Amino acid sequence: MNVNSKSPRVSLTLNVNGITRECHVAPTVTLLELLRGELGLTGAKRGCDDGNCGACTVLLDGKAVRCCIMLAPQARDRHVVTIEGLGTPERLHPLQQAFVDYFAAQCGYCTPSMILTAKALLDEQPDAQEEDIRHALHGTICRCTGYVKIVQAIEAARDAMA
Amino acid sequence: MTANPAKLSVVGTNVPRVDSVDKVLGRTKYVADLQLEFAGLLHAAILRSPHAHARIVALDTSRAERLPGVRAVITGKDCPKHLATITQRILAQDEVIWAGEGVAVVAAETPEIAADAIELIEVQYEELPSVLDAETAALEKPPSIVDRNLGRHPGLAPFTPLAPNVTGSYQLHNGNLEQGFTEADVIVENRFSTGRFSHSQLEPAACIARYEPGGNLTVWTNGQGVHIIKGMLSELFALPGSKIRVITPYQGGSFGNRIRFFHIEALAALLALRTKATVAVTYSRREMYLGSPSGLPVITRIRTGVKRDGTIVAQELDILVDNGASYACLQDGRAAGSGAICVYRQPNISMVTRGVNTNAPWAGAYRGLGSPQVTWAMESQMDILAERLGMSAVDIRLKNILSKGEQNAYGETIESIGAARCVEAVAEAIKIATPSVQEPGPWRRAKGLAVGGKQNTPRGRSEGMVLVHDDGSVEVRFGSDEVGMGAETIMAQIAAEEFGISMKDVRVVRGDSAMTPYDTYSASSFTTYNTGNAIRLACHDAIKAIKRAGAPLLQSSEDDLEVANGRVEIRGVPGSGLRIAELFKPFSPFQDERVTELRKGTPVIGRSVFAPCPAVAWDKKTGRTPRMWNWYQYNACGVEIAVNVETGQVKVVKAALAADMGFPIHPKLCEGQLEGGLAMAIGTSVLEEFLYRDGVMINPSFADYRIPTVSDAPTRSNVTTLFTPDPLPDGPWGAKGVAEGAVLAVGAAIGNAVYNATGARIYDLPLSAERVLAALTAHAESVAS
Amino acid sequence: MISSSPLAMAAFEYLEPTSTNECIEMLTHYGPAASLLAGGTDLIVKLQHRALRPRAVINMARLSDLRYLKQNDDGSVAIGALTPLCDIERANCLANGLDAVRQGATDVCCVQIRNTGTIGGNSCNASPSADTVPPLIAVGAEARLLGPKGERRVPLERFFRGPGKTMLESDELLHGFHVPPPLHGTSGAYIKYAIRGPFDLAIVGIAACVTLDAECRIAAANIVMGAVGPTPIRARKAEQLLVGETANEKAIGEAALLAASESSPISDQRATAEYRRRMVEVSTRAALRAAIWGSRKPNVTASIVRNLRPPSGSLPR
Repeated sequence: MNVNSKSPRVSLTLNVNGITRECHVAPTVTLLELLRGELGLTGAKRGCDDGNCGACTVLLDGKAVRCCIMLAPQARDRHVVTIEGLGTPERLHPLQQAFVDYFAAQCGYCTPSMILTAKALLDEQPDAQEEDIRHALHGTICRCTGYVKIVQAIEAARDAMA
Repeated sequence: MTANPAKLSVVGTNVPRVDSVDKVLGRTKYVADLQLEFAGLLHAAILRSPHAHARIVALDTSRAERLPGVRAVITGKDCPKHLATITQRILAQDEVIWAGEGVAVVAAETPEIAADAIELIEVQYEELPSVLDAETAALEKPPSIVDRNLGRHPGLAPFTPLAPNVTGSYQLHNGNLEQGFTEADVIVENRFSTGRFSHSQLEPAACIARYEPGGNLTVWTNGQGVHIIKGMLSELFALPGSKIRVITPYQGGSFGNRIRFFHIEALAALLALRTKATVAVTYSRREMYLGSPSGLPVITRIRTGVKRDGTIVAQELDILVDNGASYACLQDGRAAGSGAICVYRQPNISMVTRGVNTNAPWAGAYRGLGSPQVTWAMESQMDILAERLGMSAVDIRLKNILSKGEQNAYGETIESIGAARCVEAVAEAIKIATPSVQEPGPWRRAKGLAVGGKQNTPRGRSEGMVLVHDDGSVEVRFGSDEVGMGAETIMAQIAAEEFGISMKDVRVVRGDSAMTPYDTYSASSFTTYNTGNAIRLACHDAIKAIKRAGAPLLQSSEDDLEVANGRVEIRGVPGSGLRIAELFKPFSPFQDERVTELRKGTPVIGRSVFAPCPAVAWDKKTGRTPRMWNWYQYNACGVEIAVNVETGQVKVVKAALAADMGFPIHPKLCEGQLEGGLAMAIGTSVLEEFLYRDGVMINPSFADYRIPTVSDAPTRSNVTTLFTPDPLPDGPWGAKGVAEGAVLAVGAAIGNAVYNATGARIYDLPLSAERVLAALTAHAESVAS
Repeated sequence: MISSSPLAMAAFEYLEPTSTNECIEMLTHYGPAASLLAGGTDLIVKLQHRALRPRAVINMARLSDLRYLKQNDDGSVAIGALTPLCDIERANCLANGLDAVRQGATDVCCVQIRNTGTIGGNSCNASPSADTVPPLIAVGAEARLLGPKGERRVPLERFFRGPGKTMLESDELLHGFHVPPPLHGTSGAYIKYAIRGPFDLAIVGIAACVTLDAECRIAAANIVMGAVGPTPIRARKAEQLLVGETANEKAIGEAALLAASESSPISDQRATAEYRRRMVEVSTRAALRAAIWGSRKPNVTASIVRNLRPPSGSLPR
């Protein structure tokens, strides 16, 4: 990782997408950089400088968080789920399938964060209505779609998962 | 070129996007995601000017250079001094001309070292007067001359600026303006303006440049137009094009930001050539605001004369376009002016457009290229006129919208214009004649509508390439962009339609200057029309070759053959033919390999060049020409808004957009553009604005530059998208473009609705809460007195 | 190394104490050169921009005794500093008279931030626009500060010294808040005014707690204004005007006007001072209405262009 950092490294174990990982990183590394750089999981994205767009959203112990403003050691002994942990090409998660079916991804940059935020919502509120969906997505930015088909896809996934 | 839409099986349908599955799995690689593939990657950081205008008195990079892990420090003196095709400097020379301009750049082994090194660079500035107001900048004696070399850039045609900061001008005169005004029953004159705003696409600008042995350069970038970038790098570094390869992976949005924004590729290439290594340059979000192009602020002065029945008899326009510190393209304001010409009949018109430099980040292509800003003025004015005449908003527009076959004020003959039906469609959708239902409390509701048009800019040719492989599959290759709009899907659809096969048998290869034929960037709603036509022609070329190979085998003439479903058959004789794969014969030592056309392992290659008819240079005195632009897309917007009379907030509660896109190749993708454009335009109309103090932008972040969240868009059932296409004779199946149309009329529709709700007319975008509240307060006071 | 941005933190030493005592020892050792990490939603941003360059970052994640949320027998509530905002959002023990605190937590940004950010961090970061601060002050919370010499309590109203500055000594940490039991007949509300809704930082944040007697007269009123001064401001003149008055629109309107005059806003990239002052009046009115008549208007979501229930003059909850 950050080989020349003057910060003494920190060891940590964390579970990422069901697999236990042992990492040894400078503490100046964010959880986003650890996922992307150390573990090659590039689905979580950087869109801004201060945790304001949500493109980095991953699930930490089931809850949606912005991992670009977390230090990697904050994930010690915790469970992280990234978009790579959801579905396979042969079997997409219902949310992923719905985003395909309803054309909810245009440039795709916000798509992993939208899907994971929606998953956290539906896990907690399987019958979430449009108002709840809008509330949950309030801090996750999309510039391409205008959100219409994203909401539509989440509603369809909700119905499919019911 | 136009086929009967009823017989289409792939084009015109909602096939799944070719890139969806990878995007929902998170497997799509954007530029920054590629960094892992490069060992020993160097990272760049840029030192930027804190002043809007200053002389660089001293610049000392020695401490930075000595920091272990730093491999290069570059300043203006290390940069090629000019670019013939663009005018921006890569880094400041002896003067910085906007707050955020790059002064020095470091390449280091880690981002941390690069950031440390930046802090060790010492700069002394002598502040100079700056100008950010366009009208002040355009004066004969402005307080600041932004570009001391204006009109004398090497490699560009020299010109004498009209004023020290005026970058260019265009004039259009038609009919008899004075006569028109004397005949008018009502004359209205107003000044409208729009603010400076940003594309704010979610993926920041990023680039990786790799130096390879022999002095070759490979560049991965989310910039637009691999061949254009390659040409720029070739010119900039005096490198033959054969030594440069540019690749654009999937791009996370652009909306024009990454068009002719060459700094980042130039810096990456410069660092790679210097260090002989691979260098990544990635912009922070702050740098996207301070160091990448913004949209165009436009001031429109408009004086309109109409007769009592609503006919426009005189139109006088002065359009001032703020280019920022440099101009990326179209420095004469002509593109913005086109928004004023393409919708209405204006027999007596005078339009003067000017571009001007200010000490702000340079402004470039932004969705709509200035048309939305001018539409804001035109369509607010139309509502003002309608009220003066006691006419409805719909009637005054229908009275004046041009018809097919007429000429617009340029002198262009209109080939395709769906604007009137767009207006009718949104008027019906929001039931504009029915007043809004009010609720108790501070929110007042009302409706409004507007219509606009956007030109397609002549950008020359697109070349198409289609390969038919020996398994019968089809591969489409093109060199323009996939910024999220779905270009790859459209091209695959076109190929699937032409070959009569399904999407799963089509592959797309795009955006690689070594692999994909020449094309320009996806700008100005260009791709479906230009690249789409090219791909279609390339398919025809490949099909001809297949028929040529099949004719002797089927003992038929080529003209009697048909290609569909992976087969070549004699028309009208089902089962008569062969699978295309069967046309490819294996090698045999007993056959002359040169005679038989198709051999296993060698695909059929169809090639094409498509170019629209050339533009015709306009008359120097009148500005008129029979062909200024290629065609126009049209869009109308109707909204119901709610204004909070206590806070000034404006919410769009319902919206309808109607698009004339010629023909919807993929209806859902068209919807997506309309829905996305609505949200984006709500942003620039109500929420987004560059704010300055002492020439420095004070809100360069997603926290304070307010782009719309889901809560700022209407609920799903309150957004209606409508298609009212008017086919373009030379568009693929009549298709034009749709993406820019979506943002044209939203601002004026909202502004008209705010007036209808409150009686307060606002002339400046954005309709921010503070601005609206101030207008409401002023209106209340004027009513009281 | 993969980097998506040129921002890179300056080096620091990373520490992870396993007990509050150990943490306090570290604070004593490093003094002002240490930064405490709770959720990190504010701290990490400052580190990335190099606005802060601590020698050491002390992660409090393992200090589980700072994460608590319980109602005591006397009705008071103890809130641990490391309680995430998402827990505050759902806390049943913060209903009724203490609901303003829950509303403040609910209004912090968005779900991702609330899942990580802590109520203690919100106070210690001491942004003038922090959303949980005015409500905590309005309900009379005390801050429990823990240092090498033991615990001391400070009324939260006096905890803030300026933007980013609190009364915490460099060897102290915030243990949590003690919230006294509300008086019978008290209800409260927090109104956050921001352009895009809770996602934005507050332009104005008003917490109001009102106690009504049996005759619907205002027995007590606390009005705390955030984002309109370097620290939260008690609108004391507005409060005094209300005490003894019958709860009605006229009194509310006058109090709101007074509160605006007591605010001390600046102009910044989010709003001008004049606009903030006007929004103090609008939001104080809304907060008082919501506290008295119980309908909290969600501020700015487009899907919910609802209005306050017009006051009917009926008795409050």
